[in-house]
Amino acid sequence: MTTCPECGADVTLPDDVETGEILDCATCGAELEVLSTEPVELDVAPELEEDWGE
Amino acid sequence: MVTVVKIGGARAVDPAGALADVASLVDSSAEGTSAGSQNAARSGDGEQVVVVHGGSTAVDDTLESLGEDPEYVETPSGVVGRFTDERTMEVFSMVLPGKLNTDLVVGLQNAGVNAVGLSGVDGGLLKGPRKSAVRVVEDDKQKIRRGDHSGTVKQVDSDLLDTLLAGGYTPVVTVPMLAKDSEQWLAVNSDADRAAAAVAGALDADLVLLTDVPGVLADLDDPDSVIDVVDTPTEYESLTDAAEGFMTRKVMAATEALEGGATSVTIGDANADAPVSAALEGTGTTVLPGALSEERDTETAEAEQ
Repeated sequence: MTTCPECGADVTLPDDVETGEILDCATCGAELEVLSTEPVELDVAPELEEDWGE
Repeated sequence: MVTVVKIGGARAVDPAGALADVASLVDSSAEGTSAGSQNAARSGDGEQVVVVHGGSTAVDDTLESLGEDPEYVETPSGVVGRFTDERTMEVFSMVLPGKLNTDLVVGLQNAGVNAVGLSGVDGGLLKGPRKSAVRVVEDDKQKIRRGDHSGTVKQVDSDLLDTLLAGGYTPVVTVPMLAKDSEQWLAVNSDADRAAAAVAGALDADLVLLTDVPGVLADLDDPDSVIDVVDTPTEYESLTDAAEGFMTRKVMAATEALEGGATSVTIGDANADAPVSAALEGTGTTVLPGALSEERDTETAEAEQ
């Protein structure tokens, strides 16, 4: 369990949480990026246009 | 009128027919060696052509020959694209502006066309922001991957291309593009179809996207079901519904080209006889500005009055 950086509510973490994974805050609906797992650190996930190279 | 020809990099595509056809368009009198025909090409009244090429399969082949695995990721909308880490970017720069661009320029020189090879880095031809983070889907989870060397072309130096064309040269353009990351410029990967679309838009050109199929098929199981002309929003909706897999990227590039100012986009077969001329005469799937929204058409009509 950790807290949402957007609204402060508790966020339940999956057992196999991974760095880079995007989680949804069940309270405010924010998309949260897992910046690290030990300890777990979350930040609001950036909005990114879909893009790819050649 | 300028024609932008995108030559695909798929294994099934042989560029020889397209290069010969480009030569015939640039100057129908071009023959023999390049040295003997350069002056003829300059004085000819042929078409002005810009060639754009990709080469993702050659990048994969080179990576594999070096004992390294290409990495592809899936975006949330289902598009599969390359993840270009620093090492892949090095190989990418070796292969596209290196071997592939050189080979195409030599091929055109042998066909009597005074071709000049350029990557998007040269002269700042293709510029835009770098995108180092991408959203991907892995193991049914959405994730953010960082460290990607990719970008989207937002600016084309059309003056550079116009200068070359006016001098009788045929530009052969490829990615990488030049991208700004913080205060630093660097070379990054960019989709060559979309780069060709940006070039065609900047030059108000006709765009021919050559690939290894005869056009967009209404029925994937029926090779004779090529969608012919797309010139209304309803026809455009049918086109986007029909396009699957890699063809969605072609249709997206067609859309961006028309939004940028291109006068037409044709998706055609690179292995057909005289594939560029055939596409310009309507063989394949031709998308015209009327395919985009009616609102935009109204605005354009008002602006032209």
